[in-house]
Amino acid sequence: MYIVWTKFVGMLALCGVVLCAGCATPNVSALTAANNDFGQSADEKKLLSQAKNFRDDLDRKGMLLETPALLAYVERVAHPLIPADINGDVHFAFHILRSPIVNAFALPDGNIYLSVGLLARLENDAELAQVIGHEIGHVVLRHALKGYQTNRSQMVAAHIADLVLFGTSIAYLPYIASVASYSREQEEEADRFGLRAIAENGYSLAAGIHIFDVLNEVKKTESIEGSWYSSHPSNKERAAVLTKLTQSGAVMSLQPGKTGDDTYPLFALQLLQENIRLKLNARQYELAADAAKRGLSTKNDSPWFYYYQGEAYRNMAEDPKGAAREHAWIYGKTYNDSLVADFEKRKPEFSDVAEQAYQQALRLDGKLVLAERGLGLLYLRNGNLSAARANLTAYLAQQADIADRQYINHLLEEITK
Amino acid sequence: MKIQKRNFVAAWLVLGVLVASTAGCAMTPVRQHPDFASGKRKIQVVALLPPDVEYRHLVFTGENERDLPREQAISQELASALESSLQAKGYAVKTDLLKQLESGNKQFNFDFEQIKNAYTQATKELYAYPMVQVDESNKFKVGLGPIVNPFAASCGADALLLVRYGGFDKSSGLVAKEIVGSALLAVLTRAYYVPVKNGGRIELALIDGVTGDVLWSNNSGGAVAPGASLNLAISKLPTLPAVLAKTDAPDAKADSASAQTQAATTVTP
Repeated sequence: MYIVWTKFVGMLALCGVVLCAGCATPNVSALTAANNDFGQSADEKKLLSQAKNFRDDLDRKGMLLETPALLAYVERVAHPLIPADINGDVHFAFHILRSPIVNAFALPDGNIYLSVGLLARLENDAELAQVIGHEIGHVVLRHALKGYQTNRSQMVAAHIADLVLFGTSIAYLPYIASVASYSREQEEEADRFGLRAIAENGYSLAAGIHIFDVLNEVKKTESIEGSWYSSHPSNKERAAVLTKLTQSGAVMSLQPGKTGDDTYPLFALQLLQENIRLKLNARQYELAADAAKRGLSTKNDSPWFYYYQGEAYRNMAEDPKGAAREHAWIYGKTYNDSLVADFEKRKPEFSDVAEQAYQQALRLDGKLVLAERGLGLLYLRNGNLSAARANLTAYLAQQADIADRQYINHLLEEITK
Repeated sequence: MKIQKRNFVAAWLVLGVLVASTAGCAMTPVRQHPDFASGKRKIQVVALLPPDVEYRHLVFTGENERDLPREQAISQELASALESSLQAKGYAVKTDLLKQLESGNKQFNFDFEQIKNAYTQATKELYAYPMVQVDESNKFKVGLGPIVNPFAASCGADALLLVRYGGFDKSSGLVAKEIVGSALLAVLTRAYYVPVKNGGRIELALIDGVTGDVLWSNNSGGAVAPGASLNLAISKLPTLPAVLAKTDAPDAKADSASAQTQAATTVTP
């Protein structure tokens, strides 16, 4: 009996050793350490090669926003956050991803990507600095390599399986899963790195930590589940951990009241508009309407936000199935005939809101021809053919280079018939 | 003996009922817009969109990788095969957009991504059920919107053909692992499966260049080469009606603008 138990315990111990062998933390030093062997191992070479392919792929697909002033602003905030004592051939570069998803990620080669969806959510430079500092932390601490060596790709498949996002079948997702998926400990380490970086650059730590409150307001579906930017309860916990750190005096800002040089608000509305456009492209009508409402709460005399509000509601009226599907996705409901019927019933309500929004846009800016287009399409859908003809004709008349001229002409021909 | 005979008759009766009940229920992955199915919307000139190919090499360790050279080769193979297939069906084919993707026009490429995303959205409606009854297959009014306009207009096409292919091959190590797994399963359950070494799935969608409506779509896949999947899927695309088929292709290309006006006959904003 004793021998049997001994064998059993021995087997258990052996299993434990085998399992733990895969959990050993690899010995990878930070880029700030001398002789860190960056880019030397086969694993890291592979990661760097994947990162390069990813960068090329995004560029080729036109997924990177090329607005020089905005990029210059991001770089101006970002560069002082990079540690001066980096050892290794890492070139930090910052990119803006044309994606409505709230996300940012760093690849091991120093390329850092911030989505329009995330940037549009920020409120000041300090929050941007905290996000960028966090991402720089992942690169400097070589989290990609550590994660790769610890997890290999067992986690990758699971991550990809989770990334079923509404209207955002974006090519970059598998790359993020394989090259930039980090553990909770690594995320927390990057949080602290980011906080220290903004402290050294004289930002208000409270303002930087406020990013977590902002992210908590993000709907679950607007971010990638499991990412640092998802509206996960841990956002609150992380904010609490960092606040404790500042209260203990372990991290102190040189200028506690500084939130930045107020440059962010100059780009905020532009980013919000781009974000709404991307959401509408992805048929995220309800989220686009939310974003337009947010824009109007900041700038209630903006014809553009009224126009986008009109677009969101017109699409909900025209595409009740799509709207129901999005609603189910956002709130975790079941998409079924009953939900579609609810949205069918609300078509007149959506049409009314859209009409009022377009009309307000035109009152504020009579030259906003896209609002004429929106009204024309709305009236056509509602059977008001003469009004539809007038608005669509006005749309075509006011601008020479109209991308959908052929489509509008086709509609006008149909109205005439 | 009598009992056996009675069972035999009953079996035939059951079989007869089954055949009769399933005869009217043939299923298909094809989807058609009613206007295209009825011939109301006539398409003569089709522009090929660059095939969207993803090909992965699956390995034992799970560190699967995209095989970029293979993807490029498949993309070229599909484009060439599609051009021939469409021409054989009487359509005039435009290949201008294939080169655009490589020209480095980032806005074009971004818009192309948007079209692909819009189609992904549309498939939720189109393929909520993978197979539908043949009678139901021509009732799908799903569109991508006028986002496709500039693409079709730039090359004077009535419609765009979107192609997506996802494929894989397995390393010999992975195949060996699966064979062992299959053998173990056979020992334990007397059931077994035959591991495949490679395979893939193709999706085709013909999209109206003016309205963005999905006029026709189909998909096919299995443990076959990309070309074979393509042939199977494209074979279900209706040939150009006999009258139009007689039209000389170059003329059809030159007269694309008027063809487009004729083609669009319904309002589906």
